[in-house]
Amino acid sequence: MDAMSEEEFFDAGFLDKLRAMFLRLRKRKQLRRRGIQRSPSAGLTREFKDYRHYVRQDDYRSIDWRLYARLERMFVRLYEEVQEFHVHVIVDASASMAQPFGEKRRNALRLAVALSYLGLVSGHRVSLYAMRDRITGLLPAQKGQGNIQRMVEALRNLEFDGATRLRQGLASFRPGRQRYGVIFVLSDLIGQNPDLVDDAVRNMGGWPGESHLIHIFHPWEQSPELEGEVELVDVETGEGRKMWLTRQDLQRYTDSFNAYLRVAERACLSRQVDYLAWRTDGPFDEFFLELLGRGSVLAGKA
Amino acid sequence: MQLLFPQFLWLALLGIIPVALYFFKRRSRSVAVSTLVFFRWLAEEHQDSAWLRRLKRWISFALTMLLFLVPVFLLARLSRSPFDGGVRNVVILLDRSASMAATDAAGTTRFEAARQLIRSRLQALPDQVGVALVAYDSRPHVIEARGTQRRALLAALDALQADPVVGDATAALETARTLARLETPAEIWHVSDRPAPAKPSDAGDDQVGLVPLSVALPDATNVGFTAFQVRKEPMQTARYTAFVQVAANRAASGPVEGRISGQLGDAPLAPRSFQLEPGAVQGLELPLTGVKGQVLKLVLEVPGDALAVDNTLLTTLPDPRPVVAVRVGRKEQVDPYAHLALQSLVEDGELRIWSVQPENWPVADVDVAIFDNWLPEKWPDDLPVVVLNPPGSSGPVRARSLGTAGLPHREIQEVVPGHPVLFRVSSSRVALTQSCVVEPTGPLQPLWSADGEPLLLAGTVKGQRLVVMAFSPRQSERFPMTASFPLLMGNAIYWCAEGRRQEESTGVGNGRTGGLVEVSGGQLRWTTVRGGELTREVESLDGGVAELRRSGVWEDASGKRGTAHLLSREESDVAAAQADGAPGTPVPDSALSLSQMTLTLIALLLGVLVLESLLFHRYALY
Repeated sequence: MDAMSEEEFFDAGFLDKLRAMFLRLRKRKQLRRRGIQRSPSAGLTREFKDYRHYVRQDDYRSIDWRLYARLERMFVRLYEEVQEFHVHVIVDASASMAQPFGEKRRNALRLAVALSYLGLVSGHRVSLYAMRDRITGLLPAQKGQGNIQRMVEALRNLEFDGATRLRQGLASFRPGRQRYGVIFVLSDLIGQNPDLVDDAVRNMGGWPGESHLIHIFHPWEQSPELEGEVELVDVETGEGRKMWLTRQDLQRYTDSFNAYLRVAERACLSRQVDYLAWRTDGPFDEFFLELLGRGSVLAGKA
Repeated sequence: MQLLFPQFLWLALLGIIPVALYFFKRRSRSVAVSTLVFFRWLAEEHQDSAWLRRLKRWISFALTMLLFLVPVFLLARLSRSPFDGGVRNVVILLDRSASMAATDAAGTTRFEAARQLIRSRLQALPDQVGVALVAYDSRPHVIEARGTQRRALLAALDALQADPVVGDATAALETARTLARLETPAEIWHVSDRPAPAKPSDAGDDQVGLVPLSVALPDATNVGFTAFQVRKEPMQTARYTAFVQVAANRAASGPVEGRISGQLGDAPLAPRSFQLEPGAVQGLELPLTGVKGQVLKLVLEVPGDALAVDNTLLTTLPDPRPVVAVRVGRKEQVDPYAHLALQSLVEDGELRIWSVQPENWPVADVDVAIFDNWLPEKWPDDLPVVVLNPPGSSGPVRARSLGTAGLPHREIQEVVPGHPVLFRVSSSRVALTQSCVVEPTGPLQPLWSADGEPLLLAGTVKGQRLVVMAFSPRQSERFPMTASFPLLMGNAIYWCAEGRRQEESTGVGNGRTGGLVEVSGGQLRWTTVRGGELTREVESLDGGVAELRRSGVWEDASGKRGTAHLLSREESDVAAAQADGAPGTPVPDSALSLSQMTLTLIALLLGVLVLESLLFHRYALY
């Protein structure tokens, strides 16, 4: 699958929109919930917090010798410990994300860029992954706002092909336990067997940190505009199937698709995985704000 | 079974298309989808085993082929035929006699209905079938010889109309059979409001089918003039009598009331009412006062009358020249009372009697011959004759004399009371002496008889009228002295001379439509009645003989005049369609079976479409 041009999903206008969005996020009271990401314990960061008397179990390297020279009493410096998250952005890179509706790829990439940007700006580590039959990393974990261009480049070069094995792919992912993880899975949840979505989400429930499943689908996939005799071709497997579709058939199709959405949502809720369905015809801003407004720790320091 | 349009079978080659599509795996519109999962769920209820899918595909293929082939057979007109090889020749035998002008409640004539029927049947006929059109009234007319040009035939059909002429289907049917035998198998479509005449035995008719197509009215009431004559009253000035006969059709639903109104010149006549049972006939006398040459118009007014052409009579009052009768007999044997009676008639000036001896016979330029106690050896075939007391046999008269004494009869029986010879002649208290025995053979009809012996006979022999009186006036008691005897003599002479007098003396002959007359000048001027008003029309003629095809008074360039009227009991007896199938019931034939076959094919086509819709649309095959 051809890589996407940068202008297609990451133009200047989009960046401006992201910046404006983060400014709005800072002002949002509900997103300023301190304590979620700041630890009450003292750590070894550069942010000075306080002094306290030295006790025997303390590390002697933390004694402030300059203060001892003045006061002849040993004090240790306390630094504020800032929790550093590891943001995992997993993008479904199967062929169904790019064909026949490129809007799914565009939206997934834009959302991945936005989440990465948010993570980098917030000082978190951000990792990008591609999910096909298994999840593979696109880049080593990045930190710092200056790496956004590398991430954009990596996403732009991401090729969408092959079939998705949702259950195997999610089962193969093992996020590290060193840092609190915020995991976003951007997928159309189209695999070889949608009945296994429950098993796939069960794997997400076992991940450390908070997990978000972003279900991206095209309006046509929900209400296809077909009638008569057609030969349907699966873009992932290449399998063809002739059908004669009537309006009643299409209505039954829509009902089945909506039922599938409900099954996926129920499976996520039962595993404490945040589920959000996104129709590609919906505006990006509103969706992104809604995503962050659903209680993500990622939104706390923005 | 046959194909009426086999050339359409070429369209069956279009069946190659579905065959090719079937074998070359018809490619449907390809649509890329993200996943087939949901569509697979959709089709789960239609998932069948492989053999069932193959069976369905075969059914689908067969239905597709049927969808191609059924319309092809529809276009090719698959039909059943009474003949193995199909009909190759059709002769349309169209009745255009007067009764075909009968109208229904909507004003549609039977002839128009016949025209529509023929058009509809021609549309169902294959183009290669030759069609001839024969119209008939009193004579058959081949309007269109056998051909395949429907347009010319339809144009000729449109130009036809019903004429006020008596129809004769028998001769026309023979003509149609002759045309039909030119190429067999053939059909004769007899389109009429009457049943077809009985089919004569003919070995060659095995290949010629007769298809009666009735256009009779479902119910009809009609009264028409069936006889008509205007006579001048003997020995009276400006007095005429119109004799008319009206008849009701047998299919009338009940007694019919009507009236006869008229106009003589500009003066209206007193109307005469009548009532007729269905099928009944009634004679009426209408006294008239007028002068010769005045136009007499009589109109029959009956509510709900179906046929108009028999409701009007138009003529002029005649100006009869004297009837010239020659009395042939030996002078010593002439009956004196008969002589006196004839002299009394001569005095009025309307009758001239010439007396000649048998040696001077035959005599030219006479209207009637009176053989008084004498008979010629060679019977005159061109002259009406009144025979008084025949002494023997000659020509149509078979008699034997009883001698001089004779056989007296004190009373007589009137056998035919209404005969014109007995007009106003009293038959009661009449004593006669029979002078000879006459054998009532052939056309002679006894009018008077006594003790079983005919005394007075009348009839028409070879077109000439004959009256035989088998009694001797001079030997009969009182009868020659009464007024009845000269009346009887006068009636006999006038009745015998009737036709010759009308046609030759005044130039006005009461003819019937359909007859032929010799005319001069190349045209006929007609005076007819249209819409109740007198109308004058000119008919151009090609030769010197005209066929009278209108109802009214005609006159040629030389002043020769005549009348023509329908005056047909048969045509006025308008038939109605009957449930028992006699005249009005359509007869099933090959054309009907054709339409049934077409309907069957259409039903099959619709069935295939419905089945295909169920299989392809409601229950997806793939």
